[in-house]
Amino acid sequence: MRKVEWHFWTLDQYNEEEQWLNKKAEEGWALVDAFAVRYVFESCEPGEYVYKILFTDGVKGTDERDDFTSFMNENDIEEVGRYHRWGYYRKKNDGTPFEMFNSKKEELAHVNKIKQLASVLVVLMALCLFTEIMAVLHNRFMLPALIMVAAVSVMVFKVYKGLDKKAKELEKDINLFE
Amino acid sequence: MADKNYTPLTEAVYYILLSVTEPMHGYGIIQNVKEKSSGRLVLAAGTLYGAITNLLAKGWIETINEDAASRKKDYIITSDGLAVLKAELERLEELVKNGQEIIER
Repeated sequence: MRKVEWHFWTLDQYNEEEQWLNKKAEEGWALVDAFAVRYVFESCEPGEYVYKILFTDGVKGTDERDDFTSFMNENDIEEVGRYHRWGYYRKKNDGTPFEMFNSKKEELAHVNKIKQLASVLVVLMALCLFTEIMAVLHNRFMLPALIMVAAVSVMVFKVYKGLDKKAKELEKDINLFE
Repeated sequence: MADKNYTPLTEAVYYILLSVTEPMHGYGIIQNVKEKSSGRLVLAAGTLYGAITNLLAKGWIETINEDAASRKKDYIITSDGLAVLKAELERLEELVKNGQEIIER
Protein backbone atom coordinates (compact mmCIF):
# COMPACT_ATOMS: atom_id res chain seq x y z
CA MET A 1 0.00 0.00 0.00
CA ARG A 2 1.21 3.51 -0.83
CA LYS A 3 0.37 6.92 0.55
CA VAL A 4 1.53 10.46 -0.08
CA GLU A 5 2.00 13.04 2.66
CA TRP A 6 2.86 16.70 2.40
CA HIS A 7 5.07 18.35 4.98
CA PHE A 8 7.11 21.54 5.09
CA TRP A 9 10.41 21.55 6.96
CA THR A 10 12.86 24.40 7.11
CA LEU A 11 16.61 23.94 6.47
CA ASP A 12 17.43 23.80 10.18
CA GLN A 13 14.84 21.11 10.92
CA TYR A 14 16.53 18.14 9.25
CA ASN A 15 16.95 16.33 12.59
CA GLU A 16 13.24 16.70 13.29
CA GLU A 17 12.42 15.58 9.73
CA GLU A 18 14.61 12.52 10.22
CA GLN A 19 12.88 11.70 13.51
CA TRP A 20 9.52 12.03 11.76
CA LEU A 21 10.59 9.60 8.99
CA ASN A 22 11.95 7.11 11.52
CA LYS A 23 8.72 7.31 13.52
CA LYS A 24 6.79 6.60 10.31
CA ALA A 25 9.04 3.57 9.67
CA GLU A 26 8.43 2.34 13.21
CA GLU A 27 4.70 2.58 12.48
CA GLY A 28 5.12 0.51 9.30
CA TRP A 29 5.45 3.26 6.71
CA ALA A 30 8.73 3.30 4.79
CA LEU A 31 9.71 6.38 2.80
CA VAL A 32 10.27 5.42 -0.84
CA ASP A 33 10.47 8.86 -2.44
CA ALA A 34 10.88 12.44 -1.29
CA PHE A 35 10.85 15.67 -3.21
CA ALA A 36 10.62 19.06 -1.49
CA VAL A 37 7.40 18.87 0.54
CA ARG A 38 6.07 15.63 -1.00
CA TYR A 39 6.77 12.33 0.74
CA VAL A 40 5.76 8.92 -0.63
CA PHE A 41 5.46 6.02 1.81
CA GLU A 42 4.97 2.32 1.29
CA SER A 43 3.81 -0.11 3.94
CA CYS A 44 6.61 -2.16 5.51
CA GLU A 45 7.21 -4.26 8.60
CA PRO A 46 7.18 -1.88 11.59
CA GLY A 47 10.79 -0.85 12.27
CA GLU A 48 12.11 -2.57 9.14
CA TYR A 49 14.18 0.46 8.08
CA VAL A 50 16.05 3.35 9.65
CA TYR A 51 16.49 6.66 7.85
CA LYS A 52 19.09 9.37 7.64
CA ILE A 53 18.97 12.73 5.85
CA LEU A 54 22.14 14.27 4.49
CA PHE A 55 23.08 17.52 2.79
CA THR A 56 25.52 16.21 0.18
CA ASP A 57 28.28 17.87 -1.80
CA GLY A 58 26.72 17.48 -5.23
CA VAL A 59 23.28 17.82 -6.76
CA LYS A 60 21.54 15.08 -8.72
CA GLY A 61 23.38 13.93 -11.83
CA THR A 62 26.86 15.16 -10.84
CA ASP A 63 29.80 12.74 -10.63
CA GLU A 64 30.37 13.72 -7.01
CA ARG A 65 26.83 12.82 -6.06
CA ASP A 66 26.72 9.63 -8.14
CA ASP A 67 30.01 8.46 -6.57
CA PHE A 68 28.57 9.06 -3.13
CA THR A 69 25.35 7.22 -3.95
CA SER A 70 27.15 4.18 -5.38
CA PHE A 71 29.47 4.11 -2.34
CA MET A 72 26.40 4.08 -0.09
CA ASN A 73 24.90 1.25 -2.16
CA GLU A 74 28.11 -0.75 -1.70
CA ASN A 75 27.53 -0.41 2.03
CA ASP A 76 23.91 -1.56 1.89
CA ILE A 77 22.59 1.96 2.24
CA GLU A 78 19.92 2.94 -0.25
CA GLU A 79 19.16 6.43 -1.48
CA VAL A 80 15.36 6.69 -1.67
CA GLY A 81 14.96 10.36 -2.43
CA ARG A 82 16.86 13.34 -3.77
CA TYR A 83 15.98 16.99 -3.65
CA HIS A 84 18.56 19.64 -4.54
CA ARG A 85 21.57 18.64 -2.39
CA TRP A 86 19.44 16.72 0.12
CA GLY A 87 19.58 12.96 0.10
CA TYR A 88 17.26 10.56 1.92
CA TYR A 89 18.99 7.31 2.90
CA ARG A 90 17.80 4.15 4.52
CA LYS A 91 19.20 0.84 5.65
CA LYS A 92 17.65 -2.28 7.07
CA ASN A 93 17.26 -1.95 10.80
CA ASP A 94 19.77 -4.39 12.30
CA GLY A 95 19.59 -2.85 15.76
CA THR A 96 22.79 -0.82 15.32
CA PRO A 97 22.60 2.97 15.16
CA PHE A 98 22.53 4.50 11.69
CA GLU A 99 25.18 7.21 11.76
CA MET A 100 26.75 9.02 8.83
CA PHE A 101 29.69 10.48 10.76
CA ASN A 102 32.01 9.29 13.52
CA SER A 103 33.17 12.69 14.70
CA LYS A 104 31.66 15.98 15.82
CA LYS A 105 34.04 17.74 13.42
CA GLU A 106 32.36 16.05 10.46
CA GLU A 107 28.92 16.86 11.86
CA LEU A 108 30.00 20.48 12.19
CA ALA A 109 31.25 20.52 8.59
CA HIS A 110 27.83 19.15 7.56
CA VAL A 111 25.95 21.88 9.46
CA ASN A 112 28.28 24.53 8.04
CA LYS A 113 27.46 23.41 4.48
CA ILE A 114 23.76 23.96 5.19
CA LYS A 115 24.55 27.24 6.95
CA GLN A 116 26.37 28.42 3.84
CA LEU A 117 23.21 27.91 1.77
CA ALA A 118 21.14 29.66 4.46
CA SER A 119 23.51 32.64 4.46
CA VAL A 120 23.03 33.05 0.68
CA LEU A 121 19.26 33.08 1.29
CA VAL A 122 19.67 35.67 4.07
CA VAL A 123 21.58 37.98 1.69
CA LEU A 124 19.00 37.46 -1.07
CA MET A 125 16.12 38.23 1.30
CA ALA A 126 17.93 41.33 2.60
CA LEU A 127 18.22 42.57 -1.00
CA CYS A 128 14.53 41.84 -1.65
CA LEU A 129 13.59 43.62 1.57
CA PHE A 130 15.62 46.68 0.63
CA THR A 131 14.02 46.76 -2.83
CA GLU A 132 10.54 46.45 -1.34
CA ILE A 133 11.19 49.25 1.17
CA MET A 134 12.32 51.51 -1.71
CA ALA A 135 9.19 50.54 -3.65
CA VAL A 136 6.88 51.37 -0.72
CA LEU A 137 8.53 54.78 -0.33
CA HIS A 138 7.47 55.52 -3.92
CA ASN A 139 4.16 53.70 -3.93
CA ARG A 140 2.13 53.06 -0.76
CA PHE A 141 0.17 50.25 -2.44
CA MET A 142 3.30 48.08 -2.39
CA LEU A 143 2.93 47.72 1.39
CA PRO A 144 1.32 44.21 1.35
CA ALA A 145 4.26 42.94 -0.76
CA LEU A 146 6.68 44.48 1.72
CA ILE A 147 4.90 42.77 4.63
CA MET A 148 5.13 39.42 2.83
CA VAL A 149 8.82 39.84 2.01
CA ALA A 150 9.51 40.96 5.58
CA ALA A 151 7.76 37.86 6.97
CA VAL A 152 9.78 35.53 4.72
CA SER A 153 12.97 37.41 5.61
CA VAL A 154 12.31 36.91 9.33
CA MET A 155 11.73 33.18 8.72
CA VAL A 156 14.95 32.83 6.70
CA PHE A 157 16.91 34.68 9.37
CA LYS A 158 15.45 32.43 12.09
CA VAL A 159 16.52 29.37 10.07
CA TYR A 160 20.04 30.80 9.81
CA LYS A 161 20.11 31.43 13.56
CA GLY A 162 18.88 27.89 14.19
CA LEU A 163 21.74 26.45 12.13
CA ASP A 164 24.19 28.80 13.82
CA LYS A 165 23.02 27.52 17.22
CA LYS A 166 23.53 23.90 16.08
CA ALA A 167 27.05 24.75 14.86
CA LYS A 168 27.95 26.52 18.12
CA GLU A 169 26.77 23.55 20.21
CA LEU A 170 28.92 21.21 18.11
CA GLU A 171 31.92 23.54 18.46
CA LYS A 172 31.53 23.37 22.25
CA ASP A 173 31.48 19.55 22.08
CA ILE A 174 34.59 19.54 19.89
CA ASN A 175 36.40 21.70 22.44
CA LEU A 176 35.43 19.33 25.23
CA PHE A 177 35.82 15.91 23.65
CA GLU A 178 38.01 16.00 20.55
CA MET B 1 56.05 13.03 -0.13
CA ALA B 2 54.51 11.30 2.84
CA ASP B 3 56.31 11.92 6.12
CA LYS B 4 55.87 12.65 9.80
CA ASN B 5 54.29 16.01 8.99
CA TYR B 6 51.05 14.12 8.33
CA THR B 7 50.77 12.65 11.83
CA PRO B 8 48.84 12.36 14.07
CA LEU B 9 46.22 10.60 12.00
CA THR B 10 42.64 10.34 13.11
CA GLU B 11 41.68 7.00 14.57
CA ALA B 12 39.44 6.30 11.58
CA VAL B 13 42.17 7.05 9.01
CA TYR B 14 44.72 4.97 10.96
CA TYR B 15 42.43 1.95 10.96
CA ILE B 16 41.42 2.46 7.31
CA LEU B 17 45.08 2.51 6.23
CA LEU B 18 45.76 -0.59 8.33
CA SER B 19 42.79 -2.34 6.71
CA VAL B 20 43.89 -1.64 3.15
CA THR B 21 47.35 -3.17 3.58
CA GLU B 22 45.50 -5.91 1.73
CA PRO B 23 42.88 -5.22 -0.99
CA MET B 24 39.56 -4.37 0.58
CA HIS B 25 36.27 -2.72 -0.38
CA GLY B 26 34.28 -0.24 1.71
CA TYR B 27 32.07 -2.70 3.53
CA GLY B 28 35.09 -4.94 4.20
CA ILE B 29 36.90 -1.97 5.78
CA ILE B 30 33.95 -1.29 8.09
CA GLN B 31 33.86 -4.94 9.18
CA ASN B 32 37.64 -5.14 9.59
CA VAL B 33 37.84 -1.98 11.72
CA LYS B 34 34.98 -3.22 13.87
CA GLU B 35 36.73 -6.54 14.40
CA LYS B 36 40.20 -5.04 15.03
CA SER B 37 38.79 -2.61 17.61
CA SER B 38 36.70 -5.35 19.26
CA GLY B 39 33.50 -3.57 18.23
CA ARG B 40 34.52 -0.24 19.77
CA LEU B 41 34.86 1.63 16.48
CA VAL B 42 32.13 1.24 13.89
CA LEU B 43 32.98 3.44 10.91
CA ALA B 44 30.03 5.48 9.71
CA ALA B 45 29.50 5.36 5.94
CA GLY B 46 29.84 9.15 5.49
CA THR B 47 33.08 9.20 7.47
CA LEU B 48 34.48 6.31 5.45
CA TYR B 49 33.47 7.92 2.16
CA GLY B 50 35.10 11.25 3.12
CA ALA B 51 38.27 9.51 4.32
CA ILE B 52 38.57 7.34 1.19
CA THR B 53 38.02 10.36 -1.09
CA ASN B 54 40.77 12.29 0.74
CA LEU B 55 43.17 9.33 0.87
CA LEU B 56 42.73 8.74 -2.88
CA ALA B 57 43.36 12.45 -3.55
CA LYS B 58 46.54 12.36 -1.42
CA GLY B 59 47.72 9.21 -3.18
CA TRP B 60 47.94 7.23 0.08
CA ILE B 61 45.59 4.57 -1.27
CA GLU B 62 44.52 3.58 -4.77
CA THR B 63 41.73 1.68 -6.44
CA ILE B 64 42.99 -1.62 -7.75
CA ASN B 65 39.97 -3.00 -9.51
CA GLU B 66 36.32 -2.45 -9.94
CA ASP B 67 34.20 -5.53 -9.76
CA ALA B 68 31.68 -4.89 -12.54
CA ALA B 69 29.30 -7.53 -11.21
CA SER B 70 29.06 -6.25 -7.64
CA ARG B 71 30.10 -2.64 -8.49
CA LYS B 72 32.40 -2.72 -5.49
CA LYS B 73 35.77 -0.97 -5.61
CA ASP B 74 38.79 -2.47 -3.88
CA TYR B 75 41.36 -0.20 -2.28
CA ILE B 76 45.03 -0.81 -1.47
CA ILE B 77 47.61 1.26 0.38
CA THR B 78 50.41 2.92 -1.66
CA SER B 79 54.07 3.32 -0.63
CA ASP B 80 53.31 6.92 0.47
CA GLY B 81 50.41 5.66 2.58
CA LEU B 82 52.59 3.00 4.12
CA ALA B 83 55.23 5.61 5.02
CA VAL B 84 52.58 7.69 6.81
CA LEU B 85 51.27 4.62 8.59
CA LYS B 86 54.78 3.71 9.78
CA ALA B 87 55.41 7.27 10.99
CA GLU B 88 52.13 7.16 12.92
CA LEU B 89 53.02 3.80 14.44
CA GLU B 90 56.36 5.22 15.65
CA ARG B 91 54.52 8.15 17.22
CA LEU B 92 52.04 5.85 18.93
CA GLU B 93 54.86 3.61 20.20
CA GLU B 94 56.58 6.66 21.68
CA LEU B 95 53.36 7.70 23.43
CA VAL B 96 52.82 4.22 24.87
CA LYS B 97 56.49 3.80 25.89
CA ASN B 98 56.59 7.13 27.73
CA GLY B 99 53.20 6.47 29.32
CA GLN B 100 54.26 3.05 30.54
CA GLU B 101 57.59 4.32 31.89
CA ILE B 102 55.87 6.92 34.05
CA ILE B 103 52.67 5.16 35.07
CA GLU B 104 54.05 1.68 35.66
CA ARG B 105 57.24 2.60 37.49
